[in-house]
Amino acid sequence: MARRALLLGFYSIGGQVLLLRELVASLNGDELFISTALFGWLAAVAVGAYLGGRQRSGPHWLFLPAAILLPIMILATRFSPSLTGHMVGEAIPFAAAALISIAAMLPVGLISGWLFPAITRQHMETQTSIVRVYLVEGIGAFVGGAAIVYLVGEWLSGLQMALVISILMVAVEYVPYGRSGIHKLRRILITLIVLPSTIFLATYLETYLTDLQYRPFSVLDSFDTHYGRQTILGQAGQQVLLSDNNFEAVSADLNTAENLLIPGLLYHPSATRVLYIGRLEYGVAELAAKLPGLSLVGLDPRPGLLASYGDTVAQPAIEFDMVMSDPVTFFASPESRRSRPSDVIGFAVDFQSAYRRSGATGTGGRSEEFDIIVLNAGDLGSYKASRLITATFLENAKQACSGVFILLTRYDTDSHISAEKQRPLATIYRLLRASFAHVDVWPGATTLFIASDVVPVEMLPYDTIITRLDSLEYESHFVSADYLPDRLSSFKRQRLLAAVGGTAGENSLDRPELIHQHLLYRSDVRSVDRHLLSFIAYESTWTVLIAAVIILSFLVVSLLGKPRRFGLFLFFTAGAASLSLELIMFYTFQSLAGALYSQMAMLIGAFMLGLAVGTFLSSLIKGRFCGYAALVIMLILSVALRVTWESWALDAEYANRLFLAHLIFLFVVAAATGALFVAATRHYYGGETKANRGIGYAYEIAGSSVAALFTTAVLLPVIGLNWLLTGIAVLIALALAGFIVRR
Amino acid sequence: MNRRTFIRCVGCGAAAAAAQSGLLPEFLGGVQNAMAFDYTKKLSSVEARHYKKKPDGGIECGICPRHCFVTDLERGYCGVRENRDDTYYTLVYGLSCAVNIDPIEKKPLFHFYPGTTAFSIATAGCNVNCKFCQNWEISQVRPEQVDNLDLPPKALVDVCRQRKVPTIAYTYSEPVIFYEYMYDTAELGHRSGVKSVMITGGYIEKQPLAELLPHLDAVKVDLKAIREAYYRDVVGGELQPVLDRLIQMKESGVWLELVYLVVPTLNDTEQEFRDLARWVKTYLGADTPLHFSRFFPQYLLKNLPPTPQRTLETAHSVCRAEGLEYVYLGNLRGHPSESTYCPGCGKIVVGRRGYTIYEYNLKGNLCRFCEKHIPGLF
Ligand code: SF4
Repeated sequence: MARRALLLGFYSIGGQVLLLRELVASLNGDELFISTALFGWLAAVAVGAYLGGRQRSGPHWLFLPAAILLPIMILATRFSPSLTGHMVGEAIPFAAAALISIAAMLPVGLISGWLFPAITRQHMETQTSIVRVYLVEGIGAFVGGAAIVYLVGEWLSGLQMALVISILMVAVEYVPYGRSGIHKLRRILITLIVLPSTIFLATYLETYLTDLQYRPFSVLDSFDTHYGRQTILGQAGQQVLLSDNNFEAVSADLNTAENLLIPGLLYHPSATRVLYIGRLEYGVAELAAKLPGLSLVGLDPRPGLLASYGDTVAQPAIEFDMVMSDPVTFFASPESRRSRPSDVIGFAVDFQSAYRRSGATGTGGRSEEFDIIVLNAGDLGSYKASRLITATFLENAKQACSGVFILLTRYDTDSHISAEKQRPLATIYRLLRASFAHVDVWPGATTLFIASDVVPVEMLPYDTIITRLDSLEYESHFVSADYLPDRLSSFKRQRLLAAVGGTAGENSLDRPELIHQHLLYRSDVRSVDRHLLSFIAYESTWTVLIAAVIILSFLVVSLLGKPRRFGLFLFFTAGAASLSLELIMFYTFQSLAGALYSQMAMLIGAFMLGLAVGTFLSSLIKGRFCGYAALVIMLILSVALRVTWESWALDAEYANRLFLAHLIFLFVVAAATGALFVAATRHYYGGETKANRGIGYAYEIAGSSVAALFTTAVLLPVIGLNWLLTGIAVLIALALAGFIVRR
Repeated sequence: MNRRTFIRCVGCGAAAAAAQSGLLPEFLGGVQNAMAFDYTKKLSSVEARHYKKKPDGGIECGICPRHCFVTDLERGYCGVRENRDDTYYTLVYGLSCAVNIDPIEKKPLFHFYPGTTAFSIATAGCNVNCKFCQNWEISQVRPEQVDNLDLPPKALVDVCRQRKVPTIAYTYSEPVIFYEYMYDTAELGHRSGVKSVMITGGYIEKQPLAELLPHLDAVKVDLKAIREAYYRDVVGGELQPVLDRLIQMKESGVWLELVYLVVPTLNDTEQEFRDLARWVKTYLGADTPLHFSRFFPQYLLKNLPPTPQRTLETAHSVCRAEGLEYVYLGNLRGHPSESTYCPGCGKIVVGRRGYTIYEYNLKGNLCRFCEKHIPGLF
């Protein structure tokens, strides 16, 4: 059993993480779509577990289809845009992405869920079989998760990792098993031959398939990183950077580069030190090289990108420094800006390639202030982008900015401003106004916000802008007197000022609304999206009511019949509360301290380890104590989080303390979840050895899927963190009350 | 004399000059006065033109080749025309949702009074659904989803006259779907000395166009491709009716310029450029200005990269080699192909950089250097 449960853990974490990565990389998904994918996975697991619990067959026959399905679904996901009639470069509307994500998760999730009761049933004579499978599966998931986190992006692609998992499953389950040395050697030899050759062949297969996927572009490079998939396309002498299938940059885009760098210099002509949050190699570094006296530092956490940047337009070599860090992490405190020299990498880009150069000069070893900080906000439909436009981030960035802060958004405000676009623009403006004494806006095909504490940017006369433009030692093509009279006409500026001064929302740690505002704006592309997203964003009462009704119906079902049925609600609570708290902790950590993959990996690891430890320890302790303890701990933790999270925000500058707090919190929540699972098993199954072993697991996963769908993507921006935590505390309190009463 | 002084002294780039002379604020004051006409959430109910009542009930719209069959209380594809009790109404008459004063070069119209401005208006709605639409926020929505300015034809023409804006441009979305509003404004404008230009995809029926053309001074048509499949897959329309209307426009004598948006990998092969050039030369004449525009990621194609400069230059050289005389590259700022060159002597007759006219060497329609006739309205 242990072997199979271990494999199941490995398989299910692999399926979940690899498919989710693939979906994000292929469907250029926004945050809401990620929750539907997670929901799809968990719902499929729950259904699989329920169905598997009703079957009598063993797990042996299931491993082969499971092994085959995983890589097939990864490939199907990769090609899902073209399979659903979308062309290269076409954005997938939210509703379509949500449906694709659920469909992609379904087969692997179903089989993964099915395997759980099938394995458990093998040991039906043992009352605690479900707990033991849960425990060993948790260990398998921990090991698998760790392997995926460290291998994928660094050594293997997602598809290669999926093939590794498949081969391991087939080898362990089907290659004849024996205790003799010969048998063991045979197994090891087969694995050693098959694994590397499959990985090797998969490299060619992926290259071929990526070519097919992006045809008629030529694919110069495509690889997975810890942060997602990077694809570099070439066409007619131009290089295009796609991040998770999203257009990010094109070489050498002087238009965008001028929009990013020139306005700051017009407002702060004596500036010399500029920090650009984003990739420098697609035009920004090239432009900076033409602006004498400017020292430019880039800030981006993806180190692998530059290695594949070749055939560029810059010659001779341009030198620049990049700080490889998450912007939130970097600005969290003066301490974190005092980057370790190893974080600062000097690069040079010449005609053929980009390469590391020795002797980076940037921020290494000392805390820096910059005259100009430029943030290219990109697509605001994800927390990754929108958490850079919060009061906390802007306040922190301001501490490092001695001059002007420039924010470029992709909103086109040149000819008209729709109501849907007005709201995010107004929110951004309001946030900047709250942090900086002076804020100005530039309309145009991209909208610029210019903020400063020291330069009265909004009072700079148009003529002065033009005069300063003329005095630059670089002749600007795009931000120039040939276009500015139209772009900065008083009518357009006044229209934009009226829009940004209108009704604004929030985008705080408590209420990250910007993501909903942006998605609502984008939703105009399809009426289904529009109806769905306006419902989520504007009908908050209904949204909360739906979540409450779902939870209450689970409660009511578990209250019907014998008291032991209440165990089902305990399973549900274990899934719902733990995943909600896990997602919230990831959210707070990423918002306050950044999303460096190494730290995120440790946090995920702590959660999985906690799950296994909690399950193991509580299985040793007899009686109902574990149940009480788990529920009380979870209740205390959610209340404590509700009461203290605002002071955590203040703690952000002590990055280590914040990290440790999250690590411990996640471990304890997970341990309590494991204990609650054990308690639920005892409560529901008692001494019934012939019971359906899948239903408890199905309830737990159903709880998780409800949490996945509602927590951060739907409820957080709508009701805020405080109410969300209150809701979780109420759910746990209900479970505790029921556990006391329904003995 | 530096570039800036040159622009001030010589250039007639309207926006630059107007802004510096204080003229632009005055124009804009005009728009703001126009704004004072009120935003309204009410839709119009002006009877539409060119529709047929069907014997068995319902209406067939005859404005564009879609020929929508519309039953009671339904709307056509464009979402701005509604059947109420078998009478067809336009819901956007006098309701502009986008208003700007743009340089005429921005349309782009390069052979139409260079350096002047156009009062640009649009209503919600469109009769196609291009995946790359730059104005999707107004073109792909219904009129009740946008803020509309109450700007009936008379008010519009009056504002232009008061503020000396010489031209009205029907633009941004698809003016064909606000045909009645455009028609009445253009007709009134002509009587009052205000010119009208239509910026369109050309997806319109023959008869409505024939009636409209006498009131227009220029038309810029977005010919989106020269392949039917592209129109079907990317535009959601048909190519042939557009080609037919182009010929009709040319024959009517209205000033016509074409724009071809080069979308990477979708309509950017040399063969397509060649076919395009040959068709234009054969049916519209070698002296018809053809603008190649650079695509930027937009709307549904937000993950397709901008058009490479090299592709645009290929388009330019292919069309010039095929004999087209006025081929321009747009959205590619600072490029020599923004200027107009005399086909006779090869010298710059209208030098452009962005929306600025930095050199002007025309006497009426004649090249100042070799007296070659340059077609257009100058
Ligand atoms: S104008 Fe509108 S209603 Fe009339 S045919 Fe065209 S799309 Fe249909």
